[in-house]
Parts: sequence; C-alpha cells; structure tokens
Amino acid sequence: MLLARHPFRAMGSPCELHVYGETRALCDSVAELAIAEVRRLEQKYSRYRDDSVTTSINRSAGDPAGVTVDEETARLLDYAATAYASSDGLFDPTSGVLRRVWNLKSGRVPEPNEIEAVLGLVGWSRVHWASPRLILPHAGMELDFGGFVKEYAADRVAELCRAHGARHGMVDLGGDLAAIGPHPDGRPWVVGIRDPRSPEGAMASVRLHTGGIATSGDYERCMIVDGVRYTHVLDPRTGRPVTGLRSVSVVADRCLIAGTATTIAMLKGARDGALWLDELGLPNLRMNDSGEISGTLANAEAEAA
Amino acid sequence: MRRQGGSKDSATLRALTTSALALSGLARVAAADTPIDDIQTSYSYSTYSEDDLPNSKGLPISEHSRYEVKTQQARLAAPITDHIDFSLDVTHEKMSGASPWYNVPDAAGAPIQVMSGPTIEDERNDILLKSSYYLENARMGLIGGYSKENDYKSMNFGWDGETHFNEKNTTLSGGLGLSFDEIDPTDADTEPTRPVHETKQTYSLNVGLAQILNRRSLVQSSLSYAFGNGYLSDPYKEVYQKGAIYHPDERPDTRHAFSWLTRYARHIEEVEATVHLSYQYYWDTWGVSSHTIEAAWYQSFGDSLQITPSIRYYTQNEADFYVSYLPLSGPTDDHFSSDYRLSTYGALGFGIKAEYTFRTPWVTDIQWKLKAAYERYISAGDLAWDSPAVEAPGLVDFKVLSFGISAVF
Amino acid sequence: MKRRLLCSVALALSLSGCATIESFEWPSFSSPDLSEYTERPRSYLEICLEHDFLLRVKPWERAVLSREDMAWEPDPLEAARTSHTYFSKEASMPGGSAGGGGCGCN
Repeated sequence: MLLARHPFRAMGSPCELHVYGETRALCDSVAELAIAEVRRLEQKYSRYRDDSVTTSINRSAGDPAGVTVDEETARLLDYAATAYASSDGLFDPTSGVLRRVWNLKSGRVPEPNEIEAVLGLVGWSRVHWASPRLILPHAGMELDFGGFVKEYAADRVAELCRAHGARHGMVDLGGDLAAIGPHPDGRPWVVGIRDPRSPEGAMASVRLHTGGIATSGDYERCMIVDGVRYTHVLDPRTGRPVTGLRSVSVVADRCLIAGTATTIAMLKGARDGALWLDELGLPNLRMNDSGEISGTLANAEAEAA
Repeated sequence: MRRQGGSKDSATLRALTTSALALSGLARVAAADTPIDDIQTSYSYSTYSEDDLPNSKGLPISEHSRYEVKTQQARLAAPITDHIDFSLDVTHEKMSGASPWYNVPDAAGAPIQVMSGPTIEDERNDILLKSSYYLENARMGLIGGYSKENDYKSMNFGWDGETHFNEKNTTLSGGLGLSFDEIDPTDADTEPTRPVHETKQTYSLNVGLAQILNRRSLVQSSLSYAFGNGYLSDPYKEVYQKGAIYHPDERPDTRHAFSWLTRYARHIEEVEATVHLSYQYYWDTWGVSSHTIEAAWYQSFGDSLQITPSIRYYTQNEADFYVSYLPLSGPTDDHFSSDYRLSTYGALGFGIKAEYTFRTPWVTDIQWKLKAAYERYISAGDLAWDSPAVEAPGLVDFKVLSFGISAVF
Repeated sequence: MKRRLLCSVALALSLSGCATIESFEWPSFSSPDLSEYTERPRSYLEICLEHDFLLRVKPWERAVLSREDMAWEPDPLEAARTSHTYFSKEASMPGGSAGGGGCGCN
C-alpha cells in the first residue's frame, strides 16, 4: 500500500487528495476521477461561467416561468431548504446578492439605505421551489451554491473514491475535509485547526477516522475599517456581517453537514452559536472574539470521529 | 463507526442528515459512457398480410391471395458488468401463401402477374446476439446472428462502435458487417430451372456522425456501403419469354450498394411531443436508386400514454435489367428479372401506434409497456416520382397489425 | 389522383419540418477551453471533430435528450421487424447500422 498525494487547485482554494492504493497507477486513476468530479461541480455551480446551472438560474430571476433543474441540483436545493428551516432562516442561499454592497476589497462600509435596497432581494422564503421547478420572483435575485458546494464536493470525492475501491485516504478542499477511510493501520488522519490569531499556528488538532470536518472563520476574507473587523459572513436577515465567533469547526458524518453547522453557528454569534452547537451534539471547536476556545474538541488532542 | 452526535440526536441534525442522504449515490452524471443499468425484456406478436392480387392484374383462374406472415419476437437486454452489456433477440416467423412467379403478356401486351401454384408454408427462426463494451467516451460492440428457414440459412457477424467528442455533443459511429448465406431451394428436385445449392456473401460498412443541436434536438447523418457477392437472384422467380419459354431469374452476381441516411429528432416541450424526420437516398450498381422519407409524431399524454402516427414515402427506379417479360427474340442482356421489387414504383405507408406505460412495485419496481400498432402500405407505379411506362402487375399492398408487451426491471 | 395525393403528402411532411425549425442557441464565445484540464496528446480525428462554435449541452441539461422517444429507434423490436419487411419488399438496403442477417424473402 502506498500513499499518493495529489495537490491541485479548485474552487478558489488549494486542495489535496491523499489516497492509498496498491500501485501508483491505481492511485493516479482514482485521483483523476476525483479531481474530475471536483472540476465538474466547480463548472456546474460557478457564478462566473456562462454555462453553469447557477448562471442559468440567476438569469431567470424575474421570469415567472422560472427554470427546471436537474436531479442533483434539485436535491441540493432540497438540502438548502432543510438547512434554512433548521436555522430560523440564517442559512440562506439567496444571501449572496449582499456581496454587491459589501465589497471587501474596497474597504468601504455601505450606507444603511444601500443595504436595505439589496435586502429586498434576499430571502429563501420569497423563492418558489417545487422540485424540479425553481422560480426567483424578482429580477436581481441570485442563488449562490458557494456556501455548501465545496463541502458537498468533498463528500462526493470520498464517495467516488470508495466506489472505485479506495478504502484509505482523505480529501482536503481548502479546509473542508472528507475522509475516505483511516490509514491502512487504522490510524486516524490528524487535522490541524488554524488559530485565527496566528496564521501558521494550530489551536487544536482533531483526529478523523471517517466522516468530514469543516471550518468557518472570519479571518479568511474580511476587511478592517477604522479598527472594526467586517467579515464575509453576512446575516441574511440584517444584511450586516456577523460578530462574535472568530472560528468554528465541526465534525460530522458528512462534510456537507459539518459545513452547514459551522455556517449556522457563525451566523448565530458568540452566545447563541455556542448554545446551538452544544444542542446539536456534534464534536466542535469554536473561538470567540475574546480569543476564548470552547467546544467538545477544545482539548488539544481530542478524538473526534 | 462511532455514531455522531450526543446521546440525544437533535432534530436539526436528523433533518439535515436525512436531506443529505438523498445526495448519496446520485448516478455519476453521464460523463462516461455506461452500459444499460436495468434488465429489459420485451415480446411482440405481429401479423402481416398482403392484399389479394386484383383481378385485372392476375390470371383469371389462378390463385390471387398472397402472402401472410405471423411473427413473434422476444428480446432480452441486460448489463453484465460495469462496462459490458448484452442483448439477445429471437424471432420466429410462420410464412404462408403464394408469391409472384413470372409475368405473362395479355392480349394487349400488358403484363399480368402469375402467382406460384402451390402455396408456400415456411418457418423462419432467427437469433441475434449483441454485446457492447463501454469506455470513458466510447463504446465497442460485437454482433453475431444466425437465421434459418426451410431453404435458407444465414450466419452473420458485425462489429460496431462509437466515440464521442465535444463533451459528448458529437458522436462518430461506425460498423462492419459480414453475412454468409446458403440457399437450398425446397423443390430443386422437381423444378428443372431451380438452382440446387447456392451461396451468397454480403460485406457492409457504415459510418455516421451525430450532433446535438441543443437541449431538445439532435441530427445524424450516415453513409453505408454494402457489397453482395454470389447467388443474388431469386430461386423461385422466373422470366417469361414470348413463345412459352421460361428462364430462371438471372441477376448479376455482384452488387455494390450505397446509401445516405439523415435523420433528425426534436422534442417540443410545449405540446409534449417529439417529432422524427428522416431521409435516405440509395443507389446501387444494378441501376436501382431510391428515396425514402419518413416522419413520425410521438404525442405523449402525461407519463403513461403515447400515440404515434407516422408516414413513409418511398420511390424507386427500376434495375437496369428489369423486364416485365422477354420478347420473342429472347434476352438482349446477360441479366434479366421480372421481380416487381426491382421495378419502378412508389409506396406510401401510414402507421399508428399506441403505447401505454405503467409501473408495478411488487417484488421489485417494474415498468411495463403495452403496445398496439397498425400499418398500411400501398404501392403503385404512379406513386413513383417518375412514373414508369408500364407498372409491374405484382406490386403489393399490405397491412400489419402488431401487439407487444415489455417489462423493465 | 395519385399525383395529388403525393403532393399533399409532401406538403404535410415539409410543413411538419417547418414547424420544428430550430431556434439555434448560439453560445457565448466564452465557451470553456478545457485543454488545461485534459492535456494529453490528441489524435487527428479529435482535432478535426472538436469545435467550439456550436452549443455544448452539459450533462445536467440532458433530461430531454435522454427521453426514450428521442432515441433513433425507441422500439428496437419494431424497428428490426419493419426494417426486415421493407428490405424484403423493396429493392433498397436499409441504412444506419451494421449487423443483422439476410433472409430468403419473397
């Protein structure tokens, strides 16, 4: 059994596939399939491509006939609808349009009336979704799969590798990980969770046998204006960036669920987010604005899954 | 695997997990070519019957009823592995009736069809096996078959394949076929002009290109070539020469044939219908050339019913050596035939088919289809694009009624 | 009479042809160049048949194209039988695919 590592770049992040196989050729062929699957999802749900599902959905905004989506997209939308309902409307795939007023590269904080204007286009409850027909009633409304397609891709890669006979390995898509299986000798994959205060340090390491782990952090993309930190995580109800938690990591059976949990926790803020995570019952780790670390994985060498 | 979550699985976690489960095992979205993924079986019964020869076209005293064929077909197709599938087609036909023999001139010199005296009762059994191997962007297939009648045996082999380009929007397909046939006419010992044992080989080649035009339409164009060699005449047909001389059907022993087929399919979402159009041009070294135009309209009514009317127009030019009968002076050429199928004529076919689909989720989910179809075909000299001077008297009109049932597991 | 029948058939066919005139969806010319993902030697055939000026339908857009009635032969049993019938009663050989035997049909 040899371990092959395949680094690649996708979905705007550095990614890596670790897979064990009997021969180099087997590892390479599994990796080729895995990377092709990530690229397929990247192309299919890209905001920037003319031929993507996202673009065709967004172009139909305002059209009362809407669009018909394929099976995979339908199930992703069903999942997003469930997450929206489970999070009191915090997990909202229509919130991407807020990007238009919150341009983090500009260093400019938008005026309240600008936010109000765009907020009229946000809200999954406004969307008419009756599988397979999707209708975005107002022109300018947008769906953004970016909030969960990366985690979904990690799960798909793990599933695909297992379907092709790989039983040991792990895929890391820019910090969202899914395990194919532990090392051949049963050892788990050791995943370091980045410390938001110091880019090179880890604040904890998590041992992953199976399942997936996802992390949301305010340090990934943010801007600091007049000493105030504005993150890229925007509350769809207020249109403003969240505060309270600097980083949340969750371990779940699937990277997709882990990612949804970290997003919802971040959106709930320091106190409610922590309570919600405790109630959810999944292994987790969080750091708040004051640098306090808590959660079931808070011990440096916590066993996760 | 350790169960995720604490001692009480939260409702949120349960909801998300259930929803995420639906995302598992979604078929790998057709990036690669795949074999069929279910077991398909079907059976069909059809009766073909030709109209009686009109009195004006035949001898007053002879047999005027023509051919009848009852056909039973069965098919099984299933995957074998992740990359291989196969299909098996078995056909059993019972044929009976009289068929055209030769033409004689009437008092005015117009040809009249004489039918074979004793009626034929024959059976044909046919088996065809195909198997395909699938690669990332291509498929390769092998075909083998055997057909047997009282007086005819045929063994055939083929190879076909296709490969895709442009993210599977363009498909190049090709195939090679070989057929080895043996003809042993049943009454060779009683009829002096009958050949005793003959053989024939056919070699064919085809290549085609298909292109997806958009989300709802496709087009394909293909070229075929076939080379026939050996005994290509009809052992039961004769050519009458004025003066009560009867020659056996004498066709060349080679034939090169070319055809060009273009077809188009388009689904019209607004009315839930699909239209198919096709045109074929055919040309061979016997002097026959033909045009075939077909159109079919598949009208769906919801998920369970589909009614398909169709229409077909065919026109052909006669073979170089076609004659109604030979003059007193005898044949002017080495080859001659008065088989109506080599004359100039046109034909119109009308068809209607109904298909009903339903599912039964008993032991396993089975999709059933019940089909009934009717087709009417009429041929005549003046239906041809360029009407012949003299219409072959033996031109046939027929009708086919068929019923079928299929089950997909 | 037959000529008139013929002309009306031809008219019906060409009308149904016109009714289905394609509204071609010309793609934007920013069609993806996938060569960065598939850098491997390309055969002459591939180079000839690849193009980027026509629309590329994506795998997730193929729901209609994969309908049974969009196959060239939605009913293989019927297609085999009718092809055999026409082959026995007409002088032409059917185009399309290889394989399948002959018969001594009258």
